Amino acid sequence: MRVSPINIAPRQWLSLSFLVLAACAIANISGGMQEPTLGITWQASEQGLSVAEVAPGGPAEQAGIRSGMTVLSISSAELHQPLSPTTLTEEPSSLVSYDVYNRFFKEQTTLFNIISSDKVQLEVAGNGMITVKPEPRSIAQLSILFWFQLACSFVVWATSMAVVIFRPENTAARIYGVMGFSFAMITFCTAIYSGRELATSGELFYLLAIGSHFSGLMLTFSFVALLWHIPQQINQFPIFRVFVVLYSGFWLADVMQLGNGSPADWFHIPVIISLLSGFSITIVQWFKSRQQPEHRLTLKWIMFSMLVPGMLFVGGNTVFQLQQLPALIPQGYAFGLLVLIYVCISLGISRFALFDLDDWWQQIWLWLLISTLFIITDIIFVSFMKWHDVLSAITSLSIIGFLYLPLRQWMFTHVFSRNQVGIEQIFSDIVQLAVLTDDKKALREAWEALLRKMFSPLEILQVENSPKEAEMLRFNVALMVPDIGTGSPLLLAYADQGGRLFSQKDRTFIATLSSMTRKAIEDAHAYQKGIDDERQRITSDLHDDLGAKLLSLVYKSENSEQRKLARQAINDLRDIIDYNQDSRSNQHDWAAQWKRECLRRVNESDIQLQWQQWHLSDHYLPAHMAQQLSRVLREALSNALRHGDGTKISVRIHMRGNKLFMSVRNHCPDLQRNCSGGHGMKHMKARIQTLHGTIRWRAGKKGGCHVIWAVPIDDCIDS
Amino acid sequence: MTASIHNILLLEDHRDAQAWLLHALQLAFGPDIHVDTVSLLAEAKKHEQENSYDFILVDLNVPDGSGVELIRQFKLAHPESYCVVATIFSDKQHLFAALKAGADGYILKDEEREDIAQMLGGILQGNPPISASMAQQMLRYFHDTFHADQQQITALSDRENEVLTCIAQGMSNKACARELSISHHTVSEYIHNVYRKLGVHSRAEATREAILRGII
Repeated sequence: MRVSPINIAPRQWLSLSFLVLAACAIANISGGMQEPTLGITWQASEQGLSVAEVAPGGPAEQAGIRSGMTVLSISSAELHQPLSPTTLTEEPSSLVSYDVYNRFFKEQTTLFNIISSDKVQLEVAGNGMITVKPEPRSIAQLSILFWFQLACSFVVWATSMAVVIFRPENTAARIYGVMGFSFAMITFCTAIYSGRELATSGELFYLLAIGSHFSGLMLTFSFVALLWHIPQQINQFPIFRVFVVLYSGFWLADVMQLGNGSPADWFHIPVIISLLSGFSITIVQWFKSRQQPEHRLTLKWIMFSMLVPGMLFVGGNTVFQLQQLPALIPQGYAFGLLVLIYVCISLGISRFALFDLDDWWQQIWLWLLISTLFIITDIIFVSFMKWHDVLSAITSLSIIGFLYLPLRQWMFTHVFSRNQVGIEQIFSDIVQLAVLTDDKKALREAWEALLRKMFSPLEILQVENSPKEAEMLRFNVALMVPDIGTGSPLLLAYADQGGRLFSQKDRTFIATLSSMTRKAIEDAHAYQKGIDDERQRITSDLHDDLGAKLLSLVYKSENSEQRKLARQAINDLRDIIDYNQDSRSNQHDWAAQWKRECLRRVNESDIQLQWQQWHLSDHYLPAHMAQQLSRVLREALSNALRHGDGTKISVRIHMRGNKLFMSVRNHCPDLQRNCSGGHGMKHMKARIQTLHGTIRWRAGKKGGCHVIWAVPIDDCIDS
Repeated sequence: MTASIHNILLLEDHRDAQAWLLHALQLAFGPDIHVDTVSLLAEAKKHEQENSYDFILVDLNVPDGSGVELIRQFKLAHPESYCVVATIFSDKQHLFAALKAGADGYILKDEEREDIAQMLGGILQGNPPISASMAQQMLRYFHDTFHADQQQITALSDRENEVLTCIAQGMSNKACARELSISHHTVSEYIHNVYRKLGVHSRAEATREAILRGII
């Protein structure tokens, strides 16, 4: 993680930013509580305002106010103010002219002063004057709209601050931070005045209105500037600064109340400029990303994240305000649509590596969420349900601990988890890989299969130069995997079938995995070399001692029959040694050796050999297995030679499924003699059983004895 | 090379083999030859330095070392003289080690005396004395190596074959990328791999290879 310039860890920065947020929220809540309450929910009416709802037990109910009554004016001892639908205006900038706009704030001040007095008289149509005693507003009496906006500001603040704190050097991240700050400021301002019961102090209202206007402008131009930088910066033009100057001009024009139009003009004109600029920039970005699928994918996500909620906001609220019509979605609730922008962008952080952030960012965010959830549940219990502090804290903890955490875990496992391969499976695969150490082709295939299983990449390419460490390439679309000893390093591209980018976690994991696999292969190789050396030593000794004696037999034999026998013994000894040395041969190689041996032996007996082999593979056949098979073949051939009719012997070798089948058939006139038991057959059975195979003797269809054995190949490789 | 053979050094530790080979040498080069028979490598080296031999017959595995050392020393000093291995080892490791050291022949000493003599005698006519099974061993080795190299060099992956097909059909990288639904960067990498594996440097050469392989 990065160290911030003033040496505070990002998580502490985050905590600090939340303290600021908490301070703002407290200021906001106390601002909202400034307004005394009459306990009435108002709604616009043709004459004055009508009572939509009366709070049970509130001052209005006590005074006999009932829902449905129409209130024409409100007055205190000194002040009097007629009521009109304009009184309930949610957003003052939507008013038709600056005259109406200024009058509105004066009226709000008058109303605020009236309801701040001890007794208020309401002029109710048909009921005369009714006196109501206003009460201070409690936290529980703040409107749902107020809390909704506060929640929106929390979500957006948390998301954007977490981005800018972890990537302060990234321009796009800073702009995103400005977007988040602006949004939080708007909702803080509007929460107070749009969540009012009837009136807020005009001076405060005005300050909040122009503050909200400034923040709104900042939000729209940072929106455009973000599109300028993501997925790639269009050029070096200082778009952010230009917009700051231009939009400050619009804001000042509003503050100075320039022009004859509506105050809304100074907001809606820049909004329209922003929307048009946003579209144009998106088109340019689209064009620029035509050769870069990863940028195109990011752009599509950004477009979806920003334009869809943005359009819904404009369509559901802004357009109606421009037409001076009641909005389809009230402004306070419409802010919820804008929150979607931030939520979608934060979801794109791990998918598209936005702002160069990674999966861990969401972990941090969740840490924040859990802390906040605890505080909020606690506040709800203490403030709204009047619970005791300790009981409230325990209940909050229980809710978080027993409900939220398991739910979060479930979500991670079932919703967010990728098709991950268990670590046990990976280790088991690595061990199998190491066994294949001598067969580079099989090793490469197995390694590719493991990587495919882990990352489901759309492409696996063999590259020439091996990086020393795993490397991310092409904006995290591809991951270069170092060579594990196959001679061909691999490039994985488009993880999870193109569904995500590679993360730093993947890089670290693959680096560890490839070095571990390389080590396992080296160890297996060293082990195999040890075995080979030892085998070499034993066979060399065998050669020297036994070979020398057999040689003497050749030289001292009195007749050619004895000499022939001694030479056969020497050749058998050579075959044994050759098998031991050729431990890196595949099925074809072994079949060729077996064929040579069989040919030599049948030639000596002047018998015809019918050799057939098919479906053999290039895969490595372990020496211990080949040796056992050789001995069984030798024994079978000896039997066939000994008991055959001296004309022909057939040998067949082939693969079927994962089994290697071998058979020897002669043309024996006496089946009983040929296939009867004995030491030879017992030994053959024992040898095949060590390879988990089967062997059987049967009468050949065209006569003679047929011995067939089959051994599973995979089992032997694993063993 | 030496036109006739008189002085011979025989390195052989097996007493019966000494007699067997001595007889074979006499059959090959006549009864008048002079043969120094030694059973240790150190003795053989000393003899070789002190005398001038036309021919040495060397066993590979002697009690104090490998006969390969003697072959190397002898052939360095007397490249024009003959040096033949007579051994019981028939594996390629021993065969190639001896040939690399400079041996002019390699025979298996369990063969019949007359056969050994015939092979040794042929050396003066330019026929290298090599036992038939050892000659087969050599041929097999080179055939196997050739096939392995061929497989290594020209084994294209499925994707590489698809890219080669596209190139051979005259498609551009972009068209190829569209056809195979991959990025043009990836296509470039595949093309690079195909060129390397086929040992070609242009699309025309790659196309020719594709035709030769029957891909198009």
